[in-house]
Order: sequence, then C-alpha cells, then structure tokens
Amino acid sequence: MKRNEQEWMELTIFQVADVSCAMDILNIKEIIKHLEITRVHNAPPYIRGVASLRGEIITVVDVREKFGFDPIPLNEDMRIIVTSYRGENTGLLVDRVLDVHMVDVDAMEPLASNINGINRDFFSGIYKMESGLAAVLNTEALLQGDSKLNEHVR
Amino acid sequence: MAMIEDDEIVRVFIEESTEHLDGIESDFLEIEKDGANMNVDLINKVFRAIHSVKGGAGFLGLDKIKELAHEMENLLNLMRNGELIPTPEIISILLSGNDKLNELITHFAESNEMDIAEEVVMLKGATTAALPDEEKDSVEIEEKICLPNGYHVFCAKKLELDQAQKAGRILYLAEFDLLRDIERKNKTPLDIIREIQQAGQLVESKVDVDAIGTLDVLNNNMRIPFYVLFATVLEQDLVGKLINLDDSHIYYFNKERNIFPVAAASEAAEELAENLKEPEVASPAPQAETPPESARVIEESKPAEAAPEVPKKTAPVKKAPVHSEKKAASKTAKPPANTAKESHPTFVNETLRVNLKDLDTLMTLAGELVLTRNQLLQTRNQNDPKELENAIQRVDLITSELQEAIMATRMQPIGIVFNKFQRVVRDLSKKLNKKTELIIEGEGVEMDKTIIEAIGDPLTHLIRNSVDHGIEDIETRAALGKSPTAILRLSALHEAGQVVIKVEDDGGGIDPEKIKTKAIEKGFISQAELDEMSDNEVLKLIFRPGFSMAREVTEISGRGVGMDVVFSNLSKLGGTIDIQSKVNVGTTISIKLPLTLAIIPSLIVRVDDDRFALPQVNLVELVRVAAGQAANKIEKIDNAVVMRLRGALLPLIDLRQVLQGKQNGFINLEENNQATNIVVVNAGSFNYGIIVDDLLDSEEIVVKPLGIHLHHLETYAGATILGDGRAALILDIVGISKAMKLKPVKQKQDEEEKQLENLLGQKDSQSMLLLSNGHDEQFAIPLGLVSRIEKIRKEDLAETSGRRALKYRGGTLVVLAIEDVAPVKPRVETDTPYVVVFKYGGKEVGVVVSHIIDVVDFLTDIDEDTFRQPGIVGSSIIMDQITLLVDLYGLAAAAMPERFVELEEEEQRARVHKKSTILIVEDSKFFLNQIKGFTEDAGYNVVTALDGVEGLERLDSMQREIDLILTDIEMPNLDGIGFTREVRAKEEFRNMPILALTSVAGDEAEKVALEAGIDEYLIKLDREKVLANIENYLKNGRQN
Repeated sequence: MKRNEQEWMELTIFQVADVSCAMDILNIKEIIKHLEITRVHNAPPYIRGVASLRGEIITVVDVREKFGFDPIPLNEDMRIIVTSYRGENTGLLVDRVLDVHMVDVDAMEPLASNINGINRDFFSGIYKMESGLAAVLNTEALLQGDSKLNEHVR
Repeated sequence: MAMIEDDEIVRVFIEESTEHLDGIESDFLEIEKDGANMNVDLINKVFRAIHSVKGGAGFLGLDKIKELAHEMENLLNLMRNGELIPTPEIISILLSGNDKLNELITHFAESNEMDIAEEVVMLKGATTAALPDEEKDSVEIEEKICLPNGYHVFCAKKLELDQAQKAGRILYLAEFDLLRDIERKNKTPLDIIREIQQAGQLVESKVDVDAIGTLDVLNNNMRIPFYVLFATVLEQDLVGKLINLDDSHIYYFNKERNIFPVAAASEAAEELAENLKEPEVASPAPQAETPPESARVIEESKPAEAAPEVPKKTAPVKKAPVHSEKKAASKTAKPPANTAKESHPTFVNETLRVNLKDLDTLMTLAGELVLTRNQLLQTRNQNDPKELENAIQRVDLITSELQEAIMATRMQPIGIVFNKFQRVVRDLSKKLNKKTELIIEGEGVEMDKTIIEAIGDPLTHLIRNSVDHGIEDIETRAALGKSPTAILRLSALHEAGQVVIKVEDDGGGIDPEKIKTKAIEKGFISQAELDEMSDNEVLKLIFRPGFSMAREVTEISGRGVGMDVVFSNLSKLGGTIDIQSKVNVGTTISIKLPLTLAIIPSLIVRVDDDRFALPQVNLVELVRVAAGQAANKIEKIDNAVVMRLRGALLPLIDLRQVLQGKQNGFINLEENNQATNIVVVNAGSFNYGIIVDDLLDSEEIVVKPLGIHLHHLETYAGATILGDGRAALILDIVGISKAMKLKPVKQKQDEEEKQLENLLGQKDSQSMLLLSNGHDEQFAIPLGLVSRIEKIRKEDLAETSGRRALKYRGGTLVVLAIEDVAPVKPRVETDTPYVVVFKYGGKEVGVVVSHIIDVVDFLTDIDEDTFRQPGIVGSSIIMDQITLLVDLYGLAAAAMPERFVELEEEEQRARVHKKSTILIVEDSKFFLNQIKGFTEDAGYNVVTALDGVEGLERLDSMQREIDLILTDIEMPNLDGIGFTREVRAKEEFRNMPILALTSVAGDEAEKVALEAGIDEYLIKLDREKVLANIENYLKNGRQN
C-alpha cells in the first residue's frame, strides 16, 4: 500500500457534542441535510429512527447517544452521514459537519486513552489539526450490535 | 483436465444444468408410472438433460458431476434402447442419483471432493444387471481414443462407445481450434458442446492444453486443440457442416473402432459420385497452419477403404478409480456456507427468465414515463393547472401499469413448488407402506418469486404430515372400507386477490379429543378453557409453539417443531392458515397467501405523531366505540382488557402501550371522552383489537426491510415510505400479539351470560343492523339480507318525480326511505347518509337512513302485532329501546308496485317453466317473510306453513309439486325435528331434501337434527348460504 513517499487521505471533520470526530471520506457515501427521521419505538436508545433515502430505508444511529451524551432535539446544523455497514447503508446523526482535511496518514496517532469518557474502541486514532484534535471514528466498532443491543431483545 | 475457472462459463453451465435438471424428477416419476409401457420421448428428454450436464461438466473439469451423470446416462440409455424396463427400484436409484447430481451442481466448487461412491455403485450395479452377459464387462472397460498418428487424446468407456455406435450412428472425433474455430467466432466451447448435443450424442470432450507445449501466443501457428468425441447419424460428408468445422479436422471410427479422416472419406464419396464440383470442404490454404502431425495425417490417409497407418484399437484398459487430485476449489466462487443436506441452488436465484413480451411492455412504459416527465417539465413552465392535472393523471396511470408489469416479471407458476411433492409423497408412502396418490391442481397459478421460494418448506411439512400422520396404512384403510390408495390433493386457486393453497387428504383426520389430552398433558391449557372451545378452535391449538401431535417421534415428522413453525413462517409471508378435520374422513388445511409481498394494501393508523402501516391481510374490521360507551363495552377480566363484540370477547391492546414496551398496560378509557378507534386484526389462530388514536387512510405500500439494528424487533414487519416521502413502520400483527403475550380470551361465564346462553339455546337469535333516522325511533334490518352498506354524500342522491336515485358505479340505484311506506317520522337530512343495499327482484335496491348505530345479536322475541304497519313487520326491544323491524321486501313492494307486478309475472312464468317449489315451514311471520322474500327473489316458487302440522298438510295436498323443504326447528304444535321425522317416515319423501333454518346453535342440537333426517343445518338469514344449499340440493338431490 505504501507508495513512494507519503500517503494521503481525506478526512471529513464533524462534531458530536464537544468532540471533534473524523472519518475517511471514502467511507462516507453521502451527507444528508433533510432530517425526516421516523422514530422507532422499542428500538435500542441509540437508534434515532429510520429515514428514507431515495427509496431505501436506512437506520439512523444517534452518535451522541452512542458516546453517552444526552440526545438533543433536531436542529438546522445536524447532518446524517451515510456510511455502509455490513452491506447496508446506515446513517450517523452528528451535530454538525465542519470541514474536509487532506491528511498525511503518518500524522495519525494511536489513541492513548479514553476521550472525554467515551469508549476508546469507537476510535481508531487521533489526528492533530491546527485547531485541535480530531478523533478518527471506527464505524465498525461504533455500529456493532454490542451487548447493549441484546438488552433490548425481548 | 484442470478445472476451468472462467466465472462466466461456469455460471452459465450451472444455470443451464439446474434448468435441465429442474423438471426431470417428475419425469422420472412419470416414467415409473408408465412402467413397461415406456414413453420413449420422455426417456429421451431425461436422457438429453443428463447428457447435457455431462457434456458441460466434462469440459469444465467437474469430474464427479461428469461421472455421476455418465452413470445415470448409461442406465437411461439402456432404457431408451428398450433393454431395460423402468421398475420402481431402478427409478429409486435414478432419483437418488439425481438428488446427488443436484447437490453436486449446487456446490459445484467443491463437487470434486464430494463422495458419490454410493450412487455410482448402485447405478453401475443396475446397469450391469441389465446388460447381456457378454457386455457386462464393458461398464468398467475403457478404450483409448487416439488420432490416426497414434496421439492419445483421451479414454472413453467401452459401453458408452458401444452404445454410441448403435442405431446407425457414426462415431466421430472432431478437433476444434480453441482460438480460430471458437473464440474468433465469438463462441465458447460450451456452445460447441450444445450444438453437437442437438444433433448427436456427445461422448467425451477435452481441451488439450498439454498439446500446446510452451505457450507463445504470438506464434500464429499455434493451435489449442479442443477434442470432441461424438456420435451422430449424419454421414461423413455432412458432418463438417453440422459442426461447422473443416473436414480435415474430423475423424470417424468404423465398427471395429479404427479411426479414419473424414476428409478422405467424403472426397472419396464425392469422387464416386463423379461430382466434379470443387469440394467446398477441401482444406483452404490457411490450413497450412495446422500442426505438422495433423497435416501429415491428411496427406497420408488414403480413401476410406485403405487400412489406417496405425492400428488404433488398443487393448482394453481396466479403469482406474477416478480420484481427481486437482485442486477444485475455485477462486471465483465462494464455497457455500451451509453444507446442509437440503440443497439450495443459490445460483438460479440470482437470475430470472423474463418473458420477452413483459420486457417489451416495460420498455414501452419506460418510454411513456420519459414523455410524461417532459410534459411535466413543460407544464411547470407554463403554469397551467389543467395541463398539470393531465400530466399527474398520466404519471399515476403509468406508475400503476409499470408496477403491474414489473410484478408480472416476478410472477412464477406455483407448479415449480408443487411438482416436487410427487417425489416426496412417493418416497414417503413407500417408506411407510402406504399408497398415496397426489393430485395437483392449479399449478399454473402465479405468485411472486419470493413467495414461491418461501412456501416450499412449510408446504413440505404439511405434505409430510399428511402422509405420515393423516393417511392410514393400507390395512387400516381396508378395515374402514376406504380405497387402499389414499388421495392427497394439493391445489391452488385465486380468490379475492389472494392465492388459496389447500392440502386435503382423505386420511384419518385429527381427533380433537387427542389434541385436548395432549394439550392438558403439556400444560398448554386448562380443562375449563378447553371445555369452552369449539372443535375447530381445539384443532388450531396445533399451531401453538411446541405442540407436536405425533405419538412417537418419527423420522419423518414429529420433532416438536411442527405446525407452529409452519404457522410462523406463513405469517411472515403475510399468509393465514386454517384447518378443518373430521375423524376418519380427512383433513383439509387451507393457506391464504398474498400474490406478492413487495406491494401490499395497508391501513395507515396514527398514535400520537407516529403513523404506522397495518397490512390489510390482517385486518378484520374497524370498530368505533362512541365516547362514553367505552366503560360499557370495554372491561377488564383477569388482567386482560377485553371488548364485548357481538357476544364474543375480544382481547384488546393499546398500540401506545405496545410502543412504550409495556405489557398488560391498563387502558384508561374513562377519562377519555373521545370515541375510541379499534382495529380488529387476525393473528392467525385468534382475533384481537388494537386501540389507535386515528385511522388515516388505506394506501398501497412498498415493503422495505429494516436494517440490522432493528431486525430483532417483534413489533415491526418492515418499513415503508408514505406518500409524503417520510418513512413509516409496518406493524407485525402476529409479532405484537407475541410481544404482548396475548391469548384468546375464554368466555367468562358469569351468571348473566349463562342465562343468555340458555336463552340462546331455546330461542332464535339474529344479527341485526340497527339504524336510525335521527329521531328516537330505532329500526332494525336482518344483517343477512343486506348486500352492503354505502356511505354517500347528500348531493349524490338525486330526487326526480318523487323517486330517489343514486348515481354510482356507472349506473343508478333506486333508493327508498322507510318513511316512503311506513308511517314513521321522516328522515333527518345529514351530509353523509347511509344507503343499505339489498336485492329485490334480481336488482339492487337501497334504503337511505341517517345513521347506522350498530350490529347486534338479539333474541328474536318479536311482537308481530303492536306496531304492525306497511313496511314494518313487528317490533322488539333491542338495547333497551323499542325497535321497529323493517320489512325490506314489503317496503320495496309497496314503494315500487310496478316491480312487484313484474315479479308476479315472472313468478307466473316460472311456474309455467316448472321452477322448483320450496315449502317453508316457519312460525315467525317476520322470518317467514324474509325467507320467502329472498327465495322468491332467487326464482323459486314458495309455499308456506306456520308449523309442522300445517307443513305436513301442505305436503300431503301438493306432494308432487314440492321439491325441497326449509324448516325452522323451534315451532309450536310440531317442531322441526318432529316434522322431519314424520316426513321421513313416509316412503315417497325419503329423497326429499330437508334443510333446517335455525339459530339454535350447538353441536348437540345439530346432531339430533341430522339424526332426524335433516340434510343441512343452516343459519336462518344467511341468505347466500341458504340459497347455495338450496341450489345444490335441487341439483344433486340428497347425498346418501
């Protein structure tokens, strides 16, 4: 994989509560702005609901709730980042999308400890921006149907 | 030969093979049925199918598939040459071979490692046994096939070579060049094989990679030989044209299996015919590229008679066991995850053959859609509302046509599933020493592909159950006087937009007593609960989880995973299941399935801000409990909330509670001073009510699956996108009932109810439609007479020259009002009056009323004197109120005298035409009138009597004219039972059909009636059923 000198990747930077997060842009299918989310009763609390994406029903995961913050009502700044998880499109509800950065892969650092009390498994590394740190999201771990899911299987 | 790893070719082969093998199982069964009376065409068909598989497999290096197919082919070949008669044993061997073949093809990637020894040994055994002694060895012996120059191409079985050369066929060896003859002509080797198979019989084929040596593609002289050994009746001079190959690359074998070049033979033939025309088949100049060996062969070979240079007949070589050392695991195809015995041909599912016409329709529609889009875009610019309306209408039309067309491409005949049961039934019956004939009906009925695929397993279970438990062994059947061969009928038919699949057997039936014992044993239910259940309800217990009826666990069924699995599988498909059974007569299981799963009609309901779709297949009725009525109608019994609906208790749940994940939530209705909306749904074995905030609309919805994170939720069956673009969830009715642990509510037998039941036992009870015209007067109409009820708009009712009419469904409906005839208060005008439609004189007539109040069951304690007046037959107290019983027929006769005259005339004519005459014996004038009304309406002559004594008198005075008797049971002087006994006592009335019309329900009463000689026990005002029975009995007479 490693090419001659440097390897670059584009990171999309977004915010969840007061945490700056990042995702490889190649893992993002699209970012949607219309937030017509239908609530799903009896679903795990981190499921914000389902939404229609051009004829497809996608599950929308509330990343705040996943991180352990209290959910907030929908607002203008919020976005749904659509990513593919186990072959199906899944939405991540985030507070706002900030920027896209071109990043040297080598500049990524492993995670030392938990960030703001959030499970460190959710992140695959840290990227240092000029304005601060961005935690690179490990969507696979974030979306995994963990033990939390089983609690809700009735 | 290495396994060829060309994805596309392998895929095509697998697809084709699956297709080839698809129908042959039933063909085998057919062949078995024919026995010695062989249908050569059919055997040929099967032979060709197996043969094609063998051809392709050999080429692709799927050695096990090839070997197995080859052995099957040998056996079939003997059969088609008339050397072997297909016995059930032979067919069994072939069937198991076929099973294995299917399995190999499904798991083709690892097929070369699979064990086929058992099948091969059996097939070989059968083949050898059938051969004459001198040929017995030939099964095992292989012969070398060599070119005239001695180059060894491959080996072939002696038997096969012998068979190939029979019946005037000539054996050829063709050498194609993979590049020039195949690739450059845009073909694949499979195409060649297919071409040859159409005209002849393929023995062996091989791409000779070894012959190439070092591969240098740039070398123009390079040939990659593809050898095909085949037999055909075509002569040497024609064969080249058949396979489209130059004669110089074709060789033929004589009877001694010496090889000769065809080119020489045909040249010789042509010379003999003195045909001086330049032979077109002669090798053209570019053929110089051929490898030196081949070229030399041509040059050196003399005309056919000449002895070949090298004697080619080689000593038979004992066949070495075929153990392929090749790495078969293909990179291109992942090994199937489940290696379970039940094979799922995953390959076929990925493609679908679509009728060209359907595709054309789609194309046309797509074109229209584009045009309409353009139209829409234009209209947007013009801003013309009328144009817009047009465009929208077109979009609407095209959309529904498109939907239909796409659905049509997904439709497949149910026969695909049905036909595989011939085999199941045959094998099972054989194993269990039973005789069963499977009759398949309606295999042409088409259903969505996904449903066709999904019903296989549940149906298999039902069929196995029937043969295993339902059908008795031959001895038991004989003892019961039944025919030794049991009939198992599997049928499909369309009914009201659904498909009804029935599995009927004439076996032992299910004894409700046994189920009861079992249910108690397993602690499913208490004795008290059982006592309150009807036999049919008891039968439905078998659908509950964990209920298996088999006394012993057998191999075939009875592993405790029984009908409940069938039930839940069918529920998932949106289907319902029903069972009917009579001991020693048989069992019928009916399954209702939607035609398609993808688009379903649904009702949209609302709770708070959320909307949900509720599939209409589950919908039974909608009930609205008026504000303030809730406390009366809804009550709590044993922690369950129930509603009293027409005498039965219905378990109720509040959708809000379900959504909040609460169970047994208390529904607080007292503080609710709004009307309560209840959707009554069917959860398979029972009904329950769901309380929702609002009923919105019915909509056709497209079902979409929910994501991984939401799969486990029992409450939802999926999601959909509503008209406004928002997602909505689809409720899973069965899932909700499970989540809420709902059970059918047993009837609470409190004092009052017992009294009611006692009364019911003695008196007539009827379902009545209660109406009002906005005053304190309450009217009732027997529900059985009503065709339907329409809610209309006031404006739609046109009044001309004193006549009211409603324009609808392209015609007009005459509408009467009760006050037209009866001296009652006139109707209060409302915006949306109701029209109760019924049939009079063969035409539909409506009665307009202001309000529909309810449908109630009431005891027909009718006062036929006090309020008797035109259009009113009497009165009764219903819901604490004096209620006038409307005489629909009297009303119509009085309001439309001309129609009445017509009717009379018609009756006269009917009499002349010897219409059947029915004697109605009924003490209640009210009922007498109604029954007389609808039977006369159906065109019968009617004679009436008010009790049994009078009935007998009538019968005596006009015995010849009466064709059928309808009698009430409860009557003064002489009741229906006594009357029937008296009638039956007379010789001349032995065959008189007597139908009882009653509302005295109960098995006991029915038994007494049937014993007395009554043919049918019918509910009084169930017009449709009564008429159907009259017609049936008049046509067919009494049954035994």
